Amino acid sequence: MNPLPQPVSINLFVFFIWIFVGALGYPLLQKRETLLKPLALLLSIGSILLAYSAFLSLLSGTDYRFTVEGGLPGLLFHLHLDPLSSFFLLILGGAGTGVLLFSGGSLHAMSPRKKPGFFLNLSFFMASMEGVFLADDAYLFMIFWEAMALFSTFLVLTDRDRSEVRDAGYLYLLMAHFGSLLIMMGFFFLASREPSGQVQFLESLTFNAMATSTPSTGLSFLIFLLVLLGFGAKAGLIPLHVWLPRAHPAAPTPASALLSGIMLKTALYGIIRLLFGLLGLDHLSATWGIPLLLTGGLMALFGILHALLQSNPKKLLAYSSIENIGILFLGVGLAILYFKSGHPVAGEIALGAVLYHAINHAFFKTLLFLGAGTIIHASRTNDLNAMGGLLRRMPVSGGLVLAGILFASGLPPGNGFVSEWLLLQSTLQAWILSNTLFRSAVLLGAALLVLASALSAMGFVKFFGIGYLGIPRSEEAGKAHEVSFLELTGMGWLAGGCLLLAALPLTLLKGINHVIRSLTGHVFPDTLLSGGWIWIRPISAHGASYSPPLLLALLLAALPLPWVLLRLLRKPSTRTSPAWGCGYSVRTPRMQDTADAFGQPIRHFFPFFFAMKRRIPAPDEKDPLLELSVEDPHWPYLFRPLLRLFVRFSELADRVRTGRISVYLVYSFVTLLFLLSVLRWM
Amino acid sequence: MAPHPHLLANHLVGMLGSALLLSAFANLAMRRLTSLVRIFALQGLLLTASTLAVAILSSETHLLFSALFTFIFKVVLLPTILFRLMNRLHIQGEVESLVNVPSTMVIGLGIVVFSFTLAAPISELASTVSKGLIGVGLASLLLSFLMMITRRKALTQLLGFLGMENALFFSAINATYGMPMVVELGVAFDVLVGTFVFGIFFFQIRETFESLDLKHMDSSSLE
Repeated sequence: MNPLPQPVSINLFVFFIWIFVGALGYPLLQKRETLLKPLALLLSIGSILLAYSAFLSLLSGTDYRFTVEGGLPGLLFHLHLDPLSSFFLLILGGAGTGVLLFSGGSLHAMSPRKKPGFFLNLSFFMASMEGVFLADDAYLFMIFWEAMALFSTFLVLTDRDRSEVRDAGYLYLLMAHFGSLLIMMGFFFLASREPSGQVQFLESLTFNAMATSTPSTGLSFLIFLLVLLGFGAKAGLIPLHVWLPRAHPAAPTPASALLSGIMLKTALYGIIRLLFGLLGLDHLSATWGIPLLLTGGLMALFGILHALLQSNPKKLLAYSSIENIGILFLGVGLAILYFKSGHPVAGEIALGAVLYHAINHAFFKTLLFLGAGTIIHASRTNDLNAMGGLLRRMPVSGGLVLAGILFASGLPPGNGFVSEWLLLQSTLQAWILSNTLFRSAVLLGAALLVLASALSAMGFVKFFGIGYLGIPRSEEAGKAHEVSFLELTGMGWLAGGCLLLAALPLTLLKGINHVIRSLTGHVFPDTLLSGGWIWIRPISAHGASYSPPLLLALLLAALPLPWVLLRLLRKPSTRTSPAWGCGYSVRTPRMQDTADAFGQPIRHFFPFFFAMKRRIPAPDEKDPLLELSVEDPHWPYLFRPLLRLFVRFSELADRVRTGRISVYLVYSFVTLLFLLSVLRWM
Repeated sequence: MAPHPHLLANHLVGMLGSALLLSAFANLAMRRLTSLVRIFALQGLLLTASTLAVAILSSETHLLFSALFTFIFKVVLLPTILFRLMNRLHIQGEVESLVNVPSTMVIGLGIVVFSFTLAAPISELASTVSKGLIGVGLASLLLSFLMMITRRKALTQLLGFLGMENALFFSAINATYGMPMVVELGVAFDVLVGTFVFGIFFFQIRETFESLDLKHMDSSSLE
């Protein structure tokens, strides 16, 4: 056997590190809890290695397939490392490192009984995600996919003594199974076609065989739908998203960061792999891009509107993840639409923007989730309404979260801006489309995208403003303290990653170029990459351009300016407090804006997106109490009726079950007679 | 239908078949447990005889071994085990049934008619000596099943189950000159082991519910 190329062997090495450290860590941690820190460091070293090798293989455009003994008879385990896998492995390793470092510091607070199990699940979860990206046949892919679902469920269920956690875990597992079922059907339809030549069914399960098959248009559409819904259940595609805002906050902080930041990307990987890689652009149709685009846009809006109403910081971030997944879906739809209507340049920009946004989101969302975890831990509550004033007590982690928020809000010079700007540039190419329907759909998508990203900035202002600024709203929040060094290192790693992504996008775009070439055969226009590392000119040399390093340098240079101005203009005078106070002599936490109040205008302007129950007390009531409950409308209008229907059906079916042996015997007797007569007379 | 050289043996097989059917009806009608076990032993004897007859008719020597095994298992071993089980459990008395005997008999008649209609085309196709008897086998099988349904005690369930096995064996002998020796031996041992397992279960059931009446195991009795 030929020696494996270096990136591949590093990948396998990291996989085994994670498996072995996880398996060994379980008994070790049961004996000595203090080993947690070195073990977590081992995991994160593996993660750094993975990120490093993935980065190298992405830039060199490595495309390598190999098989490993095992699997089904007649089907070895097929693995591959192509640019798309490398890209997602980079996300996994890069963002994973920060989370693993953080967990080395944060897990000491977890009860010793849960620690070994959590550690085991964490490392196996990382390994199975790596497996998903490396798998090259449907069988191995599903093995890792299911392992990933299973270990993430265990992670969600870490605090299983709380009933809402158990419910969240159950709901998550249910959705995961629903999704897997659809994905398996998708694979089956991709594989079951008569392949050219004498290929056995099992061999047609390899991705290579699937990529060369030619399904009919109807079948392609079916596969498209199955892939979309199957992976959508994992990604939180509306209306299959209801598990997401419950499960992500229920998990311990490092786990919720991984779930929201990285695991959602496995669904994006699946969609891109199956639609662009296996089904192939030739079998897609431009029209199918429209529902994807509009769903993505609505999802983005829906997600961010709900995020704005949450007072649990982790829930807020989970809903914001729905928004970001919506943006990704919008981009994928846009890419399909452009590619299939003969405008590859705009399509490449859209697909590139999707990939870039995926890695951006992985970095800033993990950072923010870790931040949310630190403030929840520090103030011993998960209600923003009881936090406040935390920046003064946690200056370093607060500063890192502030950086994360700037990056996440899609403002220049953050990394979120790079990807959203690229996506917008792609939507602004709508004028080249000749079909009016396509054109208006793209422009509608652009409008939704802009609205959602503006609102997301508002959501993050709420997260930071209510949580970190002002004065503490509770005694516990007043006693908050800074987090440990390892936790800060993890968060710092992620913030640094965001900064690199913001400042030097062209390096990564070169890698993304390889991904797009291997998927579609097209490459970015020369102008995009010709700007060196300074300028991005996506469409043409004369069109819109953006230079992150220059802008960043400019902003940094301008930073001292307000301070200097303040110094020059301010008159050196002492200020004494007025005798009557004018309302400023007493300052209580109740005088600040609350988390609920922050969302009120949103509730008021977009009532369509919420299921609200409100009771305003009459003026003469003795004990006036304003009651308000806001809910995801999918619960009262879709899932609960479905559940009731299911229960009713089950009760009907239950009547058959009398619990008497003779009745059961009669059932089999009658069935036997019936089948015999069918045999005889049919 | 051309007359067969061994006309007597042919008639003998037919007669044994009808005796088996009759014994299945007797199973439905009997009220005492000891008589049920005796009928089971009698069925074993009938099976042995019909296997022997088919063996002579078809001159298949392995059927002779089948007959021997049938005799050892179904006439000697199983009835002995069953009688000892009844002694150990102190049950000999009346068998309670869920449906009264006359109605059971009427249902049984219907089942026999059904079985014969069902078996008619198969009998046409069969090339063996005793093709008319597939209907008999099917009818006895369904009648034993009916006995499992209508009786209440756990031991009668076992007897119904064994009756079904007898009927299956009978059909197999007549339709295809028996199964391969290995399969027959395997089935015989399965039945033996099954009886042991049932016996152990009976003791457990009696210890738990202090009775062998199936109604104590219904989910309604838990409420």
